[in-house]
Amino acid sequence: MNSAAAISVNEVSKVFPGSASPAVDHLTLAIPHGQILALVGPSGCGKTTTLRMINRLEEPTSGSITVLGHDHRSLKPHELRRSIGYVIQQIGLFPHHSIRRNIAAVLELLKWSSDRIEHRISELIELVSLDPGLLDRYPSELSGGQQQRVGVARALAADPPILLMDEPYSAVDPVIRERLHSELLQVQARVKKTIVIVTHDIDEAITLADQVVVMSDRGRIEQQGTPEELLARPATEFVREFLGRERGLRRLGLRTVKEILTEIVTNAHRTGALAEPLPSDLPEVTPATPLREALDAILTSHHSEAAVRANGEIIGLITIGQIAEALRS
Amino acid sequence: MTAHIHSPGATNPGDAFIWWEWITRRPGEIWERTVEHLQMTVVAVTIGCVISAGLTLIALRFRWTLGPITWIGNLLYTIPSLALFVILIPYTGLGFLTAQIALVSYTIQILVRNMVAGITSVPASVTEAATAIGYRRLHRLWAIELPLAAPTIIAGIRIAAVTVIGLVTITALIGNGGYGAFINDGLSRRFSTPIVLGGGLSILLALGVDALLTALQRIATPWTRPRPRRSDPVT
Repeated sequence: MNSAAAISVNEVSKVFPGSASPAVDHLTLAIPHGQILALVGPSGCGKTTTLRMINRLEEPTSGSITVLGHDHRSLKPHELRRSIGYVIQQIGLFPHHSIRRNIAAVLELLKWSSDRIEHRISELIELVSLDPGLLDRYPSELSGGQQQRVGVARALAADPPILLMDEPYSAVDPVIRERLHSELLQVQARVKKTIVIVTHDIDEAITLADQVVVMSDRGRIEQQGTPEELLARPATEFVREFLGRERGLRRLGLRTVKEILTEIVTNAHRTGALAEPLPSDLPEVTPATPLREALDAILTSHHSEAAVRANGEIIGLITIGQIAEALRS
Repeated sequence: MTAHIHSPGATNPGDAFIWWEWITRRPGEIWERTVEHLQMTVVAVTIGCVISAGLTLIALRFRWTLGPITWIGNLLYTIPSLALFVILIPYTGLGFLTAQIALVSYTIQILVRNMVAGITSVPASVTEAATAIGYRRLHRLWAIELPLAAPTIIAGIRIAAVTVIGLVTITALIGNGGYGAFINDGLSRRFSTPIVLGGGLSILLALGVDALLTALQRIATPWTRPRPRRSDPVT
């Protein structure tokens, strides 16, 4: 057993009644502390079942699951669940409760005082960027994106160390999804939870996760690693196919100009490019620009390089060749 | 019964459909019959609700019982009320108990159907979220599922109440008072005024109770009618 793991899944199988084959077959998985781990795979691969077994919405048929060092069966299911945040695709807000009471749902179960609840609610709506004016409305009066934020606030209400998310962004449109992604990353930078997110969207997994677990069938792990590791070295043909044809571009999306900045400066210095006037239509990027965007900027210009500007000054040049080189490192 | 006594001074226009003076001379009796009618109704619907709630709990907990429970409810609903009185009178006699057994029987089918439909129509995402948050089964039923099922359940109670109000006029045949007493009186004397009075009051009471329960439902479930708002930016 991995003591560093927040959640350890040990040889777990799940056979649903009336089903001949297991939904999850002898799965062993270590979920590290304070990171976002994405379970990704085609539908029916057992990823959701795995997630639901962690907080005992499904009971494992065999094997054991350890949550924060304790067997998850050592607590009663409802007690375990009150210490694990849970967000689902359909959000499942209570239609008959105000947004305020929805966020406070777990806190009411934990019998917090109303003063403490009120204080916590104001912290939470600030955390998830929710307008306080919405607190006295009913869920049906909110947009999908707003409901999603309420769902996250409700899940984080009691400050649980673990947050489980089951396809949380499948029901919102792509523009809002992208915004919610960056909001989740901002929230995570502050709260440092152990987050397990189930998704069938490999791009979502790459965007959000520190660790990606690719599952194929019956909870079989094809590969576990950082997004960079997966994209650079897919372990199996299944992973390669699942990642799709644009692995190189996706990897470039994970890295920024800054990461190869020293090379740029050295290069610029050596060629003396900065000493000479640059073409006025040379594309410009910043150190924070993802390499994928930098590449796009170059490809859509008449040049084969872009100027890197920081604090108003051009500090270097970046070429197509250097970006390609970054993929080989 | 007091309704049989005609005051000698009054002219009886024997062929008139309604003799208004006959009615206006009886405010006390009308009030008494109204109270009797309401009592019969409230008792029957209340007992019906309690029994139906129990049956609904059983049907939800053990799904295989839903079929048989529905079947029995339907069967009771199809027995003509007069036939049911004939069956019951040898055992429970003429009176309140026999009437109530019949009335309650008719509510079961309506109430169980609406209670089960109300609870099962709560979205799975809501019940699952409640479970995942840490609600226990009965607490979830009470705090989440029951309020969300309330519009459907109250709709069932409305139908049951209106049905029972109509049936109570028949239970007067076995001596339970209510507006049916007017109708009996009229029938026994071929005198139309009390018949029209009993029938009319029964209809008015049914409409009134229905309106009352509708208002109650609207007050009790404010989330079912979202307030108009200025349109918000989509975020």
